[in-house]
Amino acid sequence: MIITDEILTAYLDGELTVDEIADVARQIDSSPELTRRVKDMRRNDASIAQAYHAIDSKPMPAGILDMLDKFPESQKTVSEEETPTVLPFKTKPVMRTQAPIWQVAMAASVMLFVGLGAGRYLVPPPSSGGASAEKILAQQNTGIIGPENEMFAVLEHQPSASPVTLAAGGDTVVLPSMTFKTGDDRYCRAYSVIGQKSTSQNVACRMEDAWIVKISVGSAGASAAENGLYQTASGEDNSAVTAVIRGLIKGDALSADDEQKVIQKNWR
Amino acid sequence: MTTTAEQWRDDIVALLPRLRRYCYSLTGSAVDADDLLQNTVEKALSKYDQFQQGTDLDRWMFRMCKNLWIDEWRSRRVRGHTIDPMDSQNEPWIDGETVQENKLGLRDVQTAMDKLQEEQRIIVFLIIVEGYSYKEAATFLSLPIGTVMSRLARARKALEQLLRAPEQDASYDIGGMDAPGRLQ
Repeated sequence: MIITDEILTAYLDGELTVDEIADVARQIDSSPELTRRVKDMRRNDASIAQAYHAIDSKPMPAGILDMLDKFPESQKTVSEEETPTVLPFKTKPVMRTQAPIWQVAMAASVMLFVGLGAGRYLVPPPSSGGASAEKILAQQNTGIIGPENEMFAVLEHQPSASPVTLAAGGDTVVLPSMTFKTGDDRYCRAYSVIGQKSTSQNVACRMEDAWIVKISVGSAGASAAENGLYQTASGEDNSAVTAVIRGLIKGDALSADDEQKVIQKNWR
Repeated sequence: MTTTAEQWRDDIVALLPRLRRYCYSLTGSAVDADDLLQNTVEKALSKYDQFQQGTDLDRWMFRMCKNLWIDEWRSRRVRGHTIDPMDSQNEPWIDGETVQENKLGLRDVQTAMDKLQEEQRIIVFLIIVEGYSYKEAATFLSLPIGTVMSRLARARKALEQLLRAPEQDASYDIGGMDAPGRLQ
């Protein structure tokens, strides 16, 4: 096979057949020029992904979360008035002050929420109240989990359904709940992070030598003990997380044996 | 299956991180990205009654987002207003240590991405940043898979040159354009 730029790019993205991959890999191994190009392209890919995922570490603006929180009730009022005017862009950075409702204490050094729905609810159910109903949206420590992060080792090595307590997180427990493969043959894991004052459901996918957090949906005000470890991890119907998993998954989740094998192969 | 307003809202919530990164890729500024995201979500919610069941929400919102950014850029050009989106003063949240650890900095990446054609940039975003398969990207963009692959190949080749020696890019014609041009 002649290595064109298209073939090389398809090789990088795992879009070739097994035989084609073997052929291309052989040619790359025997060509210093191709080896250098592949190395450069992989570095570029990782840098680009990392650059744009950097915004994940910035808290989601409270105004956006508020808008979604109030929908669809807010539209009943709006529809009787004029269509809302689009806000002007700012030319200087503004350090937005978040409303107290979004300010959730850091449960551990590894997780800081910015919020998205308390459990399955964006808006707490009318019957709920008190601390356990405190709502939050999305989360802050999304983005890239690299080898320097304690969570990296958990995602790399901890089997599903085996909780582990983070050394840096006090009583924070991480529980991987499932592993699955995506349409483009990457591995992703769903996991819960359960702290004393908050819990979260997360999905992260492995890319190069890091895990990219695809979504994190948290709830605050309920301790790990109140939630019950396994109930939190598997008992809640978290629609936002489920939607992300449905959008990514190819086939079924990996069995325990298959998961163990891929862990041993370092997710190759 | 009919989607309720609450389910539709939850779908937007699930889309938020991806949409936000798309805003970031368009604007090159976290501050502008969040303003664009807010405007996009606000406009989407206001148009819920016009949203037809079965419409691809992702495409619907990405298109809305891009059109809002086009409007904003046109407005800025009329006002003669420009900012350096990579001015570090505009990105106070970026951890300097994290940037330093990157093999390539945010500024390098954004500068190179700005020189790609729009049709290349969106494919780089979908496949390299968001991990779409070629088939998913082709469906999203209503393009043949072969076109997706060839555009991505051209983009990667351009990025090879741009990220290897950005100071030499003046002599390398990749058919790219300046920031306002990306909004075609």
